[in-house]
Amino acid sequence: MSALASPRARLQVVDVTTALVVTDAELVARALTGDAWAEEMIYRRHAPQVASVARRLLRDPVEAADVVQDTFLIAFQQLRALAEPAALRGWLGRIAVSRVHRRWRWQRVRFWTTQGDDESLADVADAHVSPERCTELALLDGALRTLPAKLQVPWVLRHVVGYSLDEVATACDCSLASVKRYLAKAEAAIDLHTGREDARA
Amino acid sequence: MPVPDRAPIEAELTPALDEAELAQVWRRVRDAQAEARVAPSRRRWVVAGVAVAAAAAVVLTAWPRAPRPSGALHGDVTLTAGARLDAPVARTVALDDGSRVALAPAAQLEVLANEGDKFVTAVRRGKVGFDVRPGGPRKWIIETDLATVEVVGTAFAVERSATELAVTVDRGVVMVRGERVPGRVVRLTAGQHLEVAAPEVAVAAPPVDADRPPTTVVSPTPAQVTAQVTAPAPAPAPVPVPTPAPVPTPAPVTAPAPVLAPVTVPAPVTAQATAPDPVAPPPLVVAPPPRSIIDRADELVAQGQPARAADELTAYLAGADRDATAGLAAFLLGRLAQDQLAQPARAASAFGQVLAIGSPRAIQDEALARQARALATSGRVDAARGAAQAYLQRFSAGAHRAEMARLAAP
Repeated sequence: MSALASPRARLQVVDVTTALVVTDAELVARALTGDAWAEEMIYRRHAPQVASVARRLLRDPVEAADVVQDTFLIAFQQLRALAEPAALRGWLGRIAVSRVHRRWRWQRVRFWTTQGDDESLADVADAHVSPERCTELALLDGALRTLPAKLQVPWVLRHVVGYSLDEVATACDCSLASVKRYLAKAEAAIDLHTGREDARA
Repeated sequence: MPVPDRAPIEAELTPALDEAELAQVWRRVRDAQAEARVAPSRRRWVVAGVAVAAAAAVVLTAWPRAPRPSGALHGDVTLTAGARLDAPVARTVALDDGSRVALAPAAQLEVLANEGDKFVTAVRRGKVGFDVRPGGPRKWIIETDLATVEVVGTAFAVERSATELAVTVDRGVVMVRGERVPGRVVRLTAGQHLEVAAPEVAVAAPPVDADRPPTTVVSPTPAQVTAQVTAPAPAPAPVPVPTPAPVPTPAPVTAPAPVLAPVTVPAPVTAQATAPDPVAPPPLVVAPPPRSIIDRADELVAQGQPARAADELTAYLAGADRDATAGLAAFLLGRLAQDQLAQPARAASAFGQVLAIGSPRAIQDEALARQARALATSGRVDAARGAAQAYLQRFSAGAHRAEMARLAAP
């Protein structure tokens, strides 16, 4: 008789739960026990925000995907280091921001050999956004490019991605007071660049 | 300076990464994790050398195998045939192929077969949502007493209430088959909804023993079938709902429910409630609806009375139609006899009934394999060999082919 092909594996239950009510803290606790489903839930829940952080800062979808991958690989490796499991979102943001900084450093090196054609906020505006708003986004994007990373990152996290002030503080690894100060400085610089300061005057 | 509050600009932008890109990244994360787990062990093997490898081989061959999980839902377990998912409260079962099964409160689902190429479950009661990973290797088959739902990759819900079966498709395409489905088969696409009414039970004789249900059944006629297919506007395509032709029946006690009408189940009228008429024909003896016999058997098994459950299933099968419900009942009887009662001859007979009925199709290979096993256990070696050979002919790629090959060998 001919050799029998090995059958495919049977379906396995990886978890039984009410997914919608599982908190980040529970997911982290379960992921720490090697629960693959919990890891996937963490990814599914937070990957869109991490992707948003990466893409809005790096302005490149391919680089953003790489950052998302790096972020979750590092996160799952270092999950035990997460002191406050409930603050998972900000912690993931911190890892993502650190990876973005690393890529910025590489981009500075590559600047001498390649011409950057990264996307602006207006380029990635949704189809329903009006032309006037697209113009504003383009202006805003130009203003953000003039900001140093120390101001740009908190502003993008807060006003583009939608992080809370606490999450911005966690992601930027600084105090809440510092975050507020950076945001205020960034606002002033953006107003100056976009002419809003003049309009107010 | 106060920091102004404003809506995140992200809402005005296209998603940073779409679903497909996020899924691709997740696969890369998983692959990298697997690689990270393997790499250190490779290094250790290189360092340890041949001596450690030999020791490991000895350990691997001598190490006792861990017992196979029984299907209980704790940690990583295999959903073996017979495993049952009960949901006192709503819960979701995540499977390792990325699929999800969401049970509404009080829903109950039983696994009939879990193999590499198919996953067969029976929705006993309540609402169960299925989110089947598209493109997966398995065909998912959901059996109910009213219809069979077949799917490869989609999201849909099956709800079995006391009066009807409802199938709602959120994504993809499913096929709903059954005697009570209009035209026997309906193709449902995203947004469409099918309702199949349970047969109406007209007259119920009082049980002789309050603990024991009646034992024969009046089968529903096709004219008693009620089905409703609805689709959102604009509907992708109208689903044909042919009206089943009325079939004469010897004792249609109630008028057939009109198609596309709400289902009503009249309250059972007990024969003893009225004075007996000496010239009238004997009162109809009506068994519980088909679903009840399986529920009843389930309850008895749960109460530790598998023998009584088997007896009731046997009695039911004596007067039942050759439909999917009878097939399920026979399969349940065979499994009880084989796994709990140590009655292989009875099991072989029951599995033979499943095969004779030919429905549900999804469990035919399991029934044939179990029949061969039961025949072998009961000492009927030649019959077992014949059944095993039949299995290999019919299900050459079946999950039990290795075992059947051994049984079929002279």
